[in-house]
Amino acid sequence: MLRRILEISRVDIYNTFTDRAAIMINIAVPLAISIIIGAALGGGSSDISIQDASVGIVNQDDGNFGAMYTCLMVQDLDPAIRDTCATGFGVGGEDDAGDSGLSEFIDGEIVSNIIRGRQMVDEGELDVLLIIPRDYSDAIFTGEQAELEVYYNPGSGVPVDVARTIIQGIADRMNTSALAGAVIPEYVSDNFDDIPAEQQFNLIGRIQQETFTRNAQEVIALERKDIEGEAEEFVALQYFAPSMAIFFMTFGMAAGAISILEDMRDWTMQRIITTPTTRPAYMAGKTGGTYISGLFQMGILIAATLLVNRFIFNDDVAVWGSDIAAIVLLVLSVVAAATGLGMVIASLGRNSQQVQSVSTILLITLATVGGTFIPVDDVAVINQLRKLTLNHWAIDGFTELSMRNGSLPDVIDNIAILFVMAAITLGVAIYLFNQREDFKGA
Amino acid sequence: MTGFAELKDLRKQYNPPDGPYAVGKDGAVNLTIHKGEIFSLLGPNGAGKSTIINMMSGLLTPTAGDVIIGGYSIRQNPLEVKCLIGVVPQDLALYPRLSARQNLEFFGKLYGLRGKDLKQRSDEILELISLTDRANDKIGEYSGGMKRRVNIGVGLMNHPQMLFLDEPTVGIDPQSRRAILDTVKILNKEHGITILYTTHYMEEAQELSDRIGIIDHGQIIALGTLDELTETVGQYDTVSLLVPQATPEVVQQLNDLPNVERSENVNGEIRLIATQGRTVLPEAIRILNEAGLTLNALEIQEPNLEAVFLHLTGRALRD
Repeated sequence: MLRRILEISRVDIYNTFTDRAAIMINIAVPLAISIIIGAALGGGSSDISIQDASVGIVNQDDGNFGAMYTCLMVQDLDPAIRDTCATGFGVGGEDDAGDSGLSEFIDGEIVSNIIRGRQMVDEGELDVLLIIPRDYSDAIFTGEQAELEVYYNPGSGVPVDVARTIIQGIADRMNTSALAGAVIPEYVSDNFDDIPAEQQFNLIGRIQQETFTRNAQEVIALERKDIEGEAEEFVALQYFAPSMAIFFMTFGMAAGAISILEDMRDWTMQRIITTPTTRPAYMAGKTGGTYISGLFQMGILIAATLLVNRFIFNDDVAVWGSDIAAIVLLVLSVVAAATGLGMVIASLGRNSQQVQSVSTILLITLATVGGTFIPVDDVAVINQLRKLTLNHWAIDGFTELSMRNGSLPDVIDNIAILFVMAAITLGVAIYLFNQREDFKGA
Repeated sequence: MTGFAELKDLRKQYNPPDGPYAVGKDGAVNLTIHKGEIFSLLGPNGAGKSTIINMMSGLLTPTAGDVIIGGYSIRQNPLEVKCLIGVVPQDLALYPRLSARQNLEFFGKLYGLRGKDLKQRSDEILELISLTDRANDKIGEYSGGMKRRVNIGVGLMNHPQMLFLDEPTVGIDPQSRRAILDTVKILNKEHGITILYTTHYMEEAQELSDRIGIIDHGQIIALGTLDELTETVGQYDTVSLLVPQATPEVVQQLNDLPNVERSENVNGEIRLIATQGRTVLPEAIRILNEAGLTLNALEIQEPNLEAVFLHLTGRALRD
């Protein structure tokens, strides 16, 4: 009987991989989508980091606030200027440049004049040009509106957007500190007007400096946290290669299971049963064929994304992780779970056309909840629901292996859960098929 | 002749105890098919022909009774029975992305054939169905008639002692039908295969069969050779008059004519069961003329299975 099971599996696999439409859906489309998303987000491991945002600074301001931007963004700064930063504001100094300076994240450079800077942006040498006008610091000291000019190419993508956001954040904090400097003394001291003008000026200056320093540290710390978090956890291809592969693999598995209904419709199943082949053997053959097709599909997609990452994105990041045993087990378990899910869907439908429609909606829903299209870690409502989807456990497992450099012990729970899902769904599917009049023939 | 296949007290009811009967509602079906004969089950669509074949081939479990083929019970020894039979279903049960040879070899392997035996048998079948030169073309590229031939070929892969052909000529051109009927004769006469052939085409049953069972509403209502069956309706002819505007009064007038046993009007075709049908014609035409009706066509059929079915059921075979 084993030979008959294997023969049924073999023909099932043959039918799957000689179907051009199936190959397109199962392999070409997920591969293309992974590459497109990877490229759109900056290629393989070029994560969403502003490290790559080259920012030019034209500082026409003679005061400390203008210098502040330079201190924050330019790494290789003249020691004298950096000392000014340190003494003036307590941030961006040499000692703590590595901790609080945005120069870690922005590849900043001082540009001699505005014309040259704009030319550099136009020619693509810079992503963003920050122009600090004359009297910028004075305006802040006196509580007047202080404006910065940010010149950039709108088509430059994510790094520019992030750089602009940070510059905007710093500017907002400076405005806040200016306002604080102007308002707070009126409230903190009834005798403020009695203080000599020079001391008033110094007091306001200190308040503004202190306010800005704290605010600047806060904004820098905040942005760093965001940027570092994303840089460590989100690499486009590491996320979308497995999520898309799993998503389309579930369609492949559903199609494999639906082929049982097609066999029933076309009478090939009945014809097989009229040979010395039992129904359980037929089911085993079809399930095995579907499962092996899924493994082929995942294997091809894994190999393809690795090659794309290596030779198109010129990156050697471990898209799927580096623990081979864990990857293999995770693939075996997720394909098993998808096979079971497909079988359940097929067993519930009246005919292949009906199941095709229902499965499309169901699989897209499960994929969405499971985080296939966007990470859904922070969506509270979905947070519990996603644990019911194989997409979540598989994506979580693969990203654990790749993004967090995990190994088998880190994903053993995911593997176990996926195998349990497979066992339950296959059991349910076999039960449901055996209840069908058109299957059992009774 | 010895009985090769026996249907013993066979019934099939869906969703018992309240579901509908497909076979044996008014009495269990008993039937013996002799070794080496061509036995036809003739009946309209939905009469229960396919249900009987499905029970005989192990696809459906009988609600009651048993089927014995080659001494094996389909209930007790289904795999042994399946080794003795070949099944050609009404549908084209083939994989369209596989070639004719691949289809034959796939089902051959399910019958346990391997290696040289498998290839040799595939070659034999391809030659028998005259598709050797197209053996490696995908089924999806074949004409309807060629697919039907492959469909039959698959049923022969295991050297069956008995072949079930379930309406194998439905939906094909006359030339392909002729080829299939000739093949069935060859399989029976030259290869000694016992044939169970179901059809609702009276002509096919008349041409092929050693014996015929007429089935209606899940009951075998007549059984015998062609001559035995036609004798049951005596020497009645069937006179068919195509009169689209016929009224019930006119039909009644025709029914009252001398020598007319019975009459009916099926969609403008008036059928008169009559002795010496030719003698009825002049009067029948006179009645139609007087009624101002146009006779578009007429036909006189000597006793045949159609008349037998009409005689037994009061309905035409293709109603």
